[in-house]
Amino acid sequence: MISCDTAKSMLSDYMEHTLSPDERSSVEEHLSQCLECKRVFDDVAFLTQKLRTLPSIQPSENFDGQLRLRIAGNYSQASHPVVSRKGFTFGLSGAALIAVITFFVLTTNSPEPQPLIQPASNQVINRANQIASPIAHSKELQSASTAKLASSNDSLTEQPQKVNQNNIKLVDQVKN
Amino acid sequence: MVKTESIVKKTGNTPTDEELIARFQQGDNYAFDLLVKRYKEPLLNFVYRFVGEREEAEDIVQETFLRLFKNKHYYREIAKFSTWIYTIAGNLAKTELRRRKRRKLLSISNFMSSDKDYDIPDEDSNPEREANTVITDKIIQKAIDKLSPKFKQVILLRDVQGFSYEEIAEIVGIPLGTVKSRVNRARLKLQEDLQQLMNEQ
Repeated sequence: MISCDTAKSMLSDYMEHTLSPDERSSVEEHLSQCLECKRVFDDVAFLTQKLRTLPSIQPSENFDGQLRLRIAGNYSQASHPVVSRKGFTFGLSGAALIAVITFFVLTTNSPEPQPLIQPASNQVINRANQIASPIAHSKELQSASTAKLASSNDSLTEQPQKVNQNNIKLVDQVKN
Repeated sequence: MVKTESIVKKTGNTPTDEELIARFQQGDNYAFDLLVKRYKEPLLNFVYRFVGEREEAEDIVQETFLRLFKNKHYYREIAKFSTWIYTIAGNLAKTELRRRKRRKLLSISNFMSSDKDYDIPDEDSNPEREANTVITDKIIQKAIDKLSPKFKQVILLRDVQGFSYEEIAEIVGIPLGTVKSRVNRARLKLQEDLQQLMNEQ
């Protein structure tokens, strides 16, 4: 007789009638002698039947309207130049780091003794910034990033309800 | 291009999903509306059973359609539209569960969440509907919630949504043999969890 594990591994094929005649009769033989497996098989058959007939839910009445708003909102955001806030910040911090390194390299390689602390010229800093991140230091993109930040703030004020919903959800979850 | 709307009105023919997405890719937004109409309910029920919360499920389904709208050109005819859209929804649902799990780890108060009462709706307003059935539905949802996402996904696709094993393999992106054994193990696990929940009551 086949083992319980083997019988259970054939459960779905048995239920869906995809076993060979020999395999089917070996499962049936096992079930006739193993009450535990018989109970599991019966339970699973009942359960799959229940899953098929679970009550379905309907989309809310304003589903389509909300979807339209969401699509429209997404496209109005996408129309702004794409420079992310995160990228902008990293660009700046990277540039600052390179500027500091360049400053130290220039001052330590100098043939004449220099004061320990010496302000770098604007030209050196600008050059270092450009090397560090040409994108972040393009003036046009900087202003575009500012516009993007401003617009992200606007989108929050435009959708206070959505933000509010998220807050409510979090509060509910804490309660639970 | 002849608009889908006029074709449907004139001929009364029902276009296939693949015809609709092809028309949508050519810029016919009415075809998109028809796809939303066709899929919003089945997708909502799939995602609802996946994440266990109605509001969250509706949000995920909306996000699924938004992605369809934005990424329509990524669809290729080699796949069935239904498997493509269920792949998007399934991935979003799994992401939501992962996010929730992270949040749960951070919040001690969520230890009480196992006692949460899910808003399983009544099938209809028939007062004769037996209370037992409603209780069973709730327990079944609790047992579904206990499944790991990989088991949950395949059992919902197979037993609730009625997809074939081949379609599930396409949606989940795993071999056919793995789908079959995973569905089998998911059914056994669900039976075990349900048994445990019934005994606890």
